[in-house]
Amino acid sequence: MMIMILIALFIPLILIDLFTPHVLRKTTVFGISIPEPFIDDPQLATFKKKYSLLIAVIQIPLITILVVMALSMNDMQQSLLMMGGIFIYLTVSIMIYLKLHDEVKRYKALKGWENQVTVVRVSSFETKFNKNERLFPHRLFIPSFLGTIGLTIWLVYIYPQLPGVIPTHWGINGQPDAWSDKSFFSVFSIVFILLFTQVLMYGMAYGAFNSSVQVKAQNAALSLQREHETRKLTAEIMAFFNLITTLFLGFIDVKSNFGILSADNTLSIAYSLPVFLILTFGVVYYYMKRSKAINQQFKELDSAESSPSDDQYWKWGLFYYNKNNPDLFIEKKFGVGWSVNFARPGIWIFLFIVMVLPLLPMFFM
Amino acid sequence: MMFIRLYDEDQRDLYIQLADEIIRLMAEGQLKVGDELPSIRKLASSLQVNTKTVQAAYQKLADEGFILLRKKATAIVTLENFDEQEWLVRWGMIFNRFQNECKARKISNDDMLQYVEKLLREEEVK
Repeated sequence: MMIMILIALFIPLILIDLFTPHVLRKTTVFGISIPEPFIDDPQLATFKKKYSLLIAVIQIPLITILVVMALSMNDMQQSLLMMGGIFIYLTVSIMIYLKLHDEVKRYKALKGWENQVTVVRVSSFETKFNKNERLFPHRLFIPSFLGTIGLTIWLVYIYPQLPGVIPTHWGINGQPDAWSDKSFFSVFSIVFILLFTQVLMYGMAYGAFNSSVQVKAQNAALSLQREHETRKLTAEIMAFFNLITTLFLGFIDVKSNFGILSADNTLSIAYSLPVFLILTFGVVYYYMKRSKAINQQFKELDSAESSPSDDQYWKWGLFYYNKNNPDLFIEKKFGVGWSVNFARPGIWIFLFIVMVLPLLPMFFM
Repeated sequence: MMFIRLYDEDQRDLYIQLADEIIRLMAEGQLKVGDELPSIRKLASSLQVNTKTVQAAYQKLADEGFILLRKKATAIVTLENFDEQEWLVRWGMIFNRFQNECKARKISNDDMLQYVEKLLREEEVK
């Protein structure tokens, strides 16, 4: 079982790592801004291939070793191995990334690209009227909310029939290993978890959708279209991921309660977890594919114009800190998805909520 | 779709370029009376300039009477408070300087007007 999860987790992770540099916007390579006249420099393609090659020759043997080790282990050891494995894997990936980040940085400085461009600052100058043409798709978040309401009604309905003591946690083998008295909290905590997740995802999608648009100097119209498409795609992906998370967690809760009602306290996620993982990676695959399609349209034009570099606001191309930018969320410089602006006080509150609120139930139980 | 473009190499300060670009949008009919300009912070971050730059540009436009700065940091295109007298004085001085430069270089009044006419026509064609 654990080995299946291990494989189900790492194969998509490796595939994502292999393809990431090739699907991103051409104006940013390994977290370094590339001035627009030079986006098709052949050396940049070489760097991307080198990254994929390093991932393949280091990470694939690493995972193979982990799987072989897991074969002769018990459940407990396998769980620990998986935790450690994920940690090592991510650390190695980041180190490979940082190496390439450094190489591109030095290559860019060596070529003196920044001194050869005409810096142009372009804005799409969106007035209120233009903004109304692209509104955040609120309705995509309604189904998961309705699902949660449905679950709540069902829980209210079955509440009197539940026994006085109910299982609240299950081991990997499906046997309950933690129990709790029946209470408002122990039965309805799932509703709060779901609502919390939904508000979080809705907020992130909304923040990303409305973050300010930075247009490229060359191909301004296409660049603006790219920004709008990416924002719309992000909102759709977040809404869909929100829905499958709600369905997955809701399904597990319904299943466990059905079991409890028929005096069967076991709970197996052997089928629902792989389905959830496959759907999640399917979403990531779709996001990467669409991103690639959107980003590959850009071709080098015969012009020295380029929008200004934002390298000074990024540490290692990973952490963004810009006091002049009012946005909380910013598109990542490396990898698909969005990151946060650490210069905004609001984001620290957001991070606090994300980190601390999930721990709150511990103080009530 | 309207774009504004500011050049770092331009002799004019960024805020003057920005104010000039907004007047261009009004001249081209892309910005109409009653339109609300983007918020200062949004525009600053999309242009990757300091908020002070955008603030200075909006203030200049407001002083000249092209926009109205309201509370809550909104800016509306309006010509209601336009100070005709001030405008005439400002352009009068500029044309006076132009005229003096022409005279100093012994360019006749006819040639000067022809040159101005040619410039304006080129601008129309654009």
